[in-house]
Amino acid sequence: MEKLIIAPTSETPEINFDGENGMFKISGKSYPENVNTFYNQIFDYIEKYKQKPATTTTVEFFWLYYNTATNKMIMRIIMFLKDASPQYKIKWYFKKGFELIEEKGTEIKEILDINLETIEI
Amino acid sequence: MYSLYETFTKEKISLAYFGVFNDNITEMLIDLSETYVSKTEHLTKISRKASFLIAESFQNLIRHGIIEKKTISEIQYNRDFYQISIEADRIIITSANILENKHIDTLNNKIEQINSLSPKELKELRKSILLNGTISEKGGAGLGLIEMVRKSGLPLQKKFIPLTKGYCLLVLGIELPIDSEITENKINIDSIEKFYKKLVEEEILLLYKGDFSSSSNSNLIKMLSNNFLKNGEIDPKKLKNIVAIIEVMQNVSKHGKEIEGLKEGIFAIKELSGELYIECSNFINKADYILLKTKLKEIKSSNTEELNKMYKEKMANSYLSDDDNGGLGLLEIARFTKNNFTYNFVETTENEIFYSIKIKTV
Repeated sequence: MEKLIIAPTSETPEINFDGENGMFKISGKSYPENVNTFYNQIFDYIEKYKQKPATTTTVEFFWLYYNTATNKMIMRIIMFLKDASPQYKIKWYFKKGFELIEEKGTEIKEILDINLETIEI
Repeated sequence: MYSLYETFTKEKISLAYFGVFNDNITEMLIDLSETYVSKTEHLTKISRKASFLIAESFQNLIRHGIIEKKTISEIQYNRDFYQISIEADRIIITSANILENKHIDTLNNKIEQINSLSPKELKELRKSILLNGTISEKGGAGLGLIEMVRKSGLPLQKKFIPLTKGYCLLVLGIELPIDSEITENKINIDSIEKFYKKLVEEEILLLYKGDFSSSSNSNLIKMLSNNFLKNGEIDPKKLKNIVAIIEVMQNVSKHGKEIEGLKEGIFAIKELSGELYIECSNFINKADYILLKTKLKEIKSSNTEELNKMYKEKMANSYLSDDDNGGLGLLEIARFTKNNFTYNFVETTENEIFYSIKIKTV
């Protein structure tokens, strides 16, 4: 499976998906007004990945900030990937001082009732 | 806000800005203007000239901007100001910046001289300065002023407003006609002075009237986020403000009523008693008014715990659907501001309501 690499813009995040090895990394900012335009390509990739997933799926987020519409997309990505492999890991990185991002991660963990590790870097 | 909105009768789009003047802001202002200009067919022919004039007048502000802030902090009208307005027949760029009185005569004479010259004479003068000219101690040679008149084709409007402590405020107006047949100035420099003073007195740092479509929003958000940086990095303490601005603007874009092809609205950042407020207003259909009012009332009467519960429930129920966020943005604003926001509705016509939301930033 080919990688999906998308460079960041001022309002969309950097995407580094490696389906072959089950690694999904998203980082930066995300506040596109029409989230579907950007995130549809991500869901298309995830759909393909689910046909031949790795043994462990690892999802890593490293956000600076995002809007509420993106929050929905993040939850969707997590739920779509969570059941793709027998095992999953979700790592939620945040910069020192960015407690807001940490709180957002904890909140998603509660809403979706999943294993999500918040990590300060 | 509605009374402020009503002062913009002729302007399709207008941005007045007090704040950090640097090259990044110049770029974003040009982007913002270009977004509008490129969308408006009859403006495309002057877009390059417009970008040039915006950049030139802005650089003029940076070059001649306040240097010794401490000395002049006691003067009331001591803030550098910049405004760009797009009207039906011209683009108007105005700026105001503090000058030491000792520069008045030289600058006044220079502007008078430039204004009196024909296009041919201006070209000659430019050439002569480039060949033998002197560079002023502020880094300019008067070339910027010459280029402003050459590109716009109309004389510069100016006024030196006396301040205290040996300083004055230079208000400068540039007009770029959309049609080359226009040969007369229209700016009333006194009304610009009045507008500038009104904004200073109301402690407005930024005022934008115009389009809130997604392309315009994107540039505005970039520009505003820049004001919340610390040493070039995002200040984590200001994150909530950035996200609140995004939610407020995207809310207008999604739910605002379209008027003549524009999602028209007005946005202001105010500094009242040392606290920063964001205020945004737009027109909505009367049919949506009751629902929005009910939603806002419910949010305002909720405490932090209830707001968090509402947000989580709404998020859990809606994340798999492509439907509109259904108030998630408003809930996020309420959570981020600890419910420190107010709202207001003004009935303007039978079918239209002018809706405003004012947020206290953190």
